[in-house]
Amino acid sequence: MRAFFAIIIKDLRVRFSSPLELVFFILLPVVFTVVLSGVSMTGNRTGAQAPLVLLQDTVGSPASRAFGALLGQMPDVRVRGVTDPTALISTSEPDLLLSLTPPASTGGELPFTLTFKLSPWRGSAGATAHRVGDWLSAARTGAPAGTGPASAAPSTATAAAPEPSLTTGTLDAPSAAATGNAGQIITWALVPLLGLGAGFITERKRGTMRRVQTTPAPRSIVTAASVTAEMLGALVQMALLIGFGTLVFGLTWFSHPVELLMLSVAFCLAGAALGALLGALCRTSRQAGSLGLALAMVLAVFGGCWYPAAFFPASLRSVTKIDPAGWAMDGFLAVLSPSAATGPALRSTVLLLAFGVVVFILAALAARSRRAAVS
Amino acid sequence: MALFIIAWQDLKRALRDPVGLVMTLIVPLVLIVAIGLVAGNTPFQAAPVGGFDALSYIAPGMALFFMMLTVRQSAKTIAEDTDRGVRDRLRSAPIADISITAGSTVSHIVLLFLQLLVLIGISSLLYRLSWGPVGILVLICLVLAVCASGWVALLVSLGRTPSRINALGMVLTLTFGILSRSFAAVIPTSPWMDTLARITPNYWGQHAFFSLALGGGAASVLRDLGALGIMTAVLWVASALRTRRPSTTRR
Repeated sequence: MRAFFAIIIKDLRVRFSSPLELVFFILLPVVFTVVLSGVSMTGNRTGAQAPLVLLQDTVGSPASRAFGALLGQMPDVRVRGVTDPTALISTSEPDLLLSLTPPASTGGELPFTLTFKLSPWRGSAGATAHRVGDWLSAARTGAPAGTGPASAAPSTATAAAPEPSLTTGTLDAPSAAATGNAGQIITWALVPLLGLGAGFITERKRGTMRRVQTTPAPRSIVTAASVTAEMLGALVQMALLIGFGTLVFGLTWFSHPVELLMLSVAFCLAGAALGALLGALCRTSRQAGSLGLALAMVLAVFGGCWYPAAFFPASLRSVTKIDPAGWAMDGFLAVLSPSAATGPALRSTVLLLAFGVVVFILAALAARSRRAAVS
Repeated sequence: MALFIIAWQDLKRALRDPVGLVMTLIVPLVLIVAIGLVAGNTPFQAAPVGGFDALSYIAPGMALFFMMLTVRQSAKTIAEDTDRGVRDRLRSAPIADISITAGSTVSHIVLLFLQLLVLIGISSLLYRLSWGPVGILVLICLVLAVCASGWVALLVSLGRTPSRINALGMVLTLTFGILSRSFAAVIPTSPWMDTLARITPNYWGQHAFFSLALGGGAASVLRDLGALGIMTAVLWVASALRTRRPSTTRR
C-alpha cells in the first residue's frame, strides 16, 4: 500500500513540476468558464446590458412585423431593426447576437421559412429562442402560442400568423452559467484523463515502466497508482471549478453532495478507462495524445458541453445518449437543478461506472495481448 | 532548388502522418458538421435565411482554431528535428542555411493553406455557404497561412524544446480561440477582450471571411489582409531577433 501512495504522490509531483501545467489545470478552465457562461461578473444582464439582436426585416409583412414585435417583448434581449446586414460587423456592441433575416422571396406573406438563428449558447437567450420557436410552431399549426414544442430549429409557417403573444410560463432549464460551468468542468477534466494513455506509452518507450517493475511493487499496483493519480488530479480540478461556480455564479452545486461526489468519481473513472484503452491500442505517445485530445473535444461537443443538448436536432440528440460526456453533463445538470430528483444523477453515475469498468477490462485485455505479442 | 526539395519532403512527411491528418482535417470537419446541425443548418441544403448564416462565422472560426493547432504541431516538428540533429546534418550538406529555413517555412505555409482551403471548401459544399468571389477567398486563406507561419517561427524561437512548444502552443491556440470567439459568434465579450483579440490571426481571419460572406467584396477585406500582413512582418522580425540573441541560440 505504501508503494501505491508513493507512486501517486510522485506522479502528481511530476505532472505539476512545470508551472505551465497550472495554466491548463485552473487558469484556462476558469477563463473559458467565465467567457462561455455568458454571465456578467456583476450580476444578471438587464435593460441596456441585455444582448443585442439585429433584425433585418426584408419582408415587411404583418407576420414579419408581428415577429419583430414579439421579439421586442422578450426581457432578455434587445432588438434593433437594421436595413443592412453588414451592420452586424460594423457595430461596436460587445454583446451581439446573430441577425434574423426573413427572406424576401416569399412576397411578404406567410408561409415563409425562417431559420431562427438566435444562439442556443446562452441560457437566457435560449429561453427566448424557445418562446419564439413556440410562436413560430403555432404559426405553422394554428395552435395557440406557447403550446407547441419548443424549437429553435427552422420553422415553416403555413397558416396565418397568430397575434404575437409572450409566453409567461417559467422554464426549469439550466442557466447559461450552469451549462457553461458543467460543460467546462467535463471538457477540461476529460483532456488530461484521456491523455493518460500517452503517459503510459511514454513510460513504455523510455523503459521507465520496466525500471519501476524491478522494484517490489507489482505491475497492477503501479498501473492502479498511475490511474488513481490522474483521477485525483481531475477530481481536484473539478472541485476547484465547482467551487468557482458556487462562489462566482452562485450555482447550487452542493444541493446533492453525495450524488455529486459519486458522479464525479464515476466520470473520472470512465475518462481514465478511455485513456488507458488509448494507451493500450496506440503505438506512439503522439498518437495517443492527439487522439485523446480529439476524442475529448468530440465527446464534449456531442455531449452538450459546448452547446446545450436541448438545442440539438433529434439525430444529434441520439448521439448524446451514448456519449459518456453527455451522461456526465445530464448528471451534473440534474445535481444543479433545485427541482430535480436524484434519479438522473444516479442513472448517469451507474452508466459511467459500467462504462468505466467495461472499458478498463478492454484496456487490460488489449495491453495483455500487446505484451504477449512483444514477448 | 534545394528549397523546393526540402519543402516537398517536409510536406510529404506531414501528409503521410495519419494522426496529423486526423487532427488537421477530420476532427475539425466533425466539429463543423456538429455545430452546423446545432445552428439549425441541414447538410446539402442552403440555409433559408436571406443575408446571413451563422455557419459563415463558425466554420472559419473552427478552421482557424485548428489552424493554430497545426501551427503548434509544425513548431514542435521543427524543434524535434533540431533536437535529433536533423538540422545540423542538413547544414553539413552543400545547401545554404537560408534554403533549409525557407524550405521548411514554405512547406508549413502550403500545409496551413491546404488545411484552411479544405476545411472552408468542404464546409461550404456541405452547408451550401456562399463566400462570393473564390479568388478573394483563396487570397484570404493564403495570407492567413503566411501569417500562421510567422506564429510557427515565434513559437520555435520562444519555446526552444518540443515539450515547451507543445504547452505554449496549446495555451496560444486556446487563448486565441476564446478571444476571437472561434467557437461561436455570440460569446459575449467585453471591449477589452475585443481589443486584445486583434493580436490574433483568428480575429482578422474571421472578420475577413465574415465580411466576404455578407457580400462585402474585395474592398471589405483589405483592412483585415493588411492587419494580417503587418502581423506577419512583426512576427518574423521578432522571431529573427529572438533567435539571433546569443543566449537563446541553440548549439
